[in-house]
Amino acid sequence: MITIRNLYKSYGKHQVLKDLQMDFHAGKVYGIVGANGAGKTTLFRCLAGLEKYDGHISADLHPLKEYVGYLPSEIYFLPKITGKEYLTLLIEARNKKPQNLNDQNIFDLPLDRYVSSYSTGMKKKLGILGVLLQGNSLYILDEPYNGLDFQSSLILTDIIHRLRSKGKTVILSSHIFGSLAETCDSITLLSNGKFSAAANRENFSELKRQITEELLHKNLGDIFSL
Amino acid sequence: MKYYFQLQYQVFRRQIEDIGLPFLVGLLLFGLLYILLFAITIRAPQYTPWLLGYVSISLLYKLTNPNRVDFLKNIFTRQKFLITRCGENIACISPFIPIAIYGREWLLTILLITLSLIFTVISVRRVEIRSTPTPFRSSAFEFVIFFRRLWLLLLIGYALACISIYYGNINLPFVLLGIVMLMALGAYDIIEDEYIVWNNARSASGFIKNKIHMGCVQLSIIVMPLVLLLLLFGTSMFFWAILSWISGLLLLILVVLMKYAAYPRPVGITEAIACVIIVMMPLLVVVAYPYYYKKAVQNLEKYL
Repeated sequence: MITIRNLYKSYGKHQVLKDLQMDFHAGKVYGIVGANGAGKTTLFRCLAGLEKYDGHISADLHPLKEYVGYLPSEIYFLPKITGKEYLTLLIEARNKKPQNLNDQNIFDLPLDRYVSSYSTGMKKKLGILGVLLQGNSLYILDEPYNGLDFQSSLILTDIIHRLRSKGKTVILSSHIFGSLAETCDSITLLSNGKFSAAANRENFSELKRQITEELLHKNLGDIFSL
Repeated sequence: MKYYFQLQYQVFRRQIEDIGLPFLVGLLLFGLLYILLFAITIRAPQYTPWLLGYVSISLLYKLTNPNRVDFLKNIFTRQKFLITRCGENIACISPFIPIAIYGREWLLTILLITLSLIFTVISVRRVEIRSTPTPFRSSAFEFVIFFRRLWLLLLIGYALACISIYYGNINLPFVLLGIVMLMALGAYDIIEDEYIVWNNARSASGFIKNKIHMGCVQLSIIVMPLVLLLLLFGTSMFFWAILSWISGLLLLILVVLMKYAAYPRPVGITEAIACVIIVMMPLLVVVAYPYYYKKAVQNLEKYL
């Protein structure tokens, strides 16, 4: 279990996360939604140990970082390395030996080609495959559906279901509410750095209605009057 | 961790081989460059700390790319991350340490070792909410980014120049002029997205001419305080300051042409070696300018 208590994060005077409290249980999938700039990525970076913060993040697993598979929304790849080398690097970094990568290549990626020649979607698939092959206990997936084709989105949804059934914890964000509704046990709305609403599976439609209402306040007339 | 360093070796090897050079020939060229650097420091020892300091700190700074550092932090444990970063920083400065020791530059040696350790632990990711105003046109994005990254160093440079003039040392502002120009030219490492170039309404040749014109104006703005200082207080060095300024502009033209001749890939080892050779034998610009200009225009015609 991972517990967040009184989590604050600021960049200078700008406060990005404000007094967050949350528990993440094993075998559950948690969705975080929110507008751009709401603080989703910052929260994920805090959980992954990439940011300093005020407050407490505690876990049953010590040190937590060694059990976390973090997939950033924009994945960094070292220059001039192949897909296979990227996967090997990620696996060996966790003191594990890579098995037959070609058999584990669920997305049929051209693993012997340079990653720089991959399309956006292929890079995303490689990143997902990398964190999966590490065999983590907690998965933090920032916008994992972005750039994926329809078939790969289905595969990812299936992967998340399997991770849940194996007792892993998955935290993910997505702009597509439908993707979250299909995979998550609970969805939490992050607005201006605060958790402003949360819903369990049976209340997803209510949460969706609330988010839609917030969006409708935006005045599109300003741009269409041009 | 071992695999990471093996991979770095592979990447280095591929970078050489991808430009059409056998690996051993590339290594030989690096060896020659190293001997050249050694020779320069023996012939002009007064510039040793500046030259070595600039080259090694630039390399160390490149390794602190926040996305790269985050990637390593993400995949390795804290201990392995520190060992990896420390190892690559030490590997980065190790070729320069023997030269510094040979030149009895003890302060520089200590500074480089200290910096390589500091760069291991500090994170350079900065999230700035307010934008720093710059004296440059927004379309000269290289200079805008350069200024926002290094404005503090730039101010320290100007302040150091004023202090040294006050104490009658006119050599330091002259050296600072060179360093500031090299730092500014480093901004051309930033490769804009193809979409940015494609959006431009100019023809390929018009685009390059505009880039050169804008670059010359912006570089002149940056070095003007130092040139004016030398004009007012260091008249004996003024001629050399003007000459350095003009050399800087000529180098800028070469850097711009090379950047767009290689675009969208970053300038590689071939261009870097060619640039060093041209700096050593400036008359080669007569051949280099038309060659890289033609290549850059052909290259940009795909987008414009």
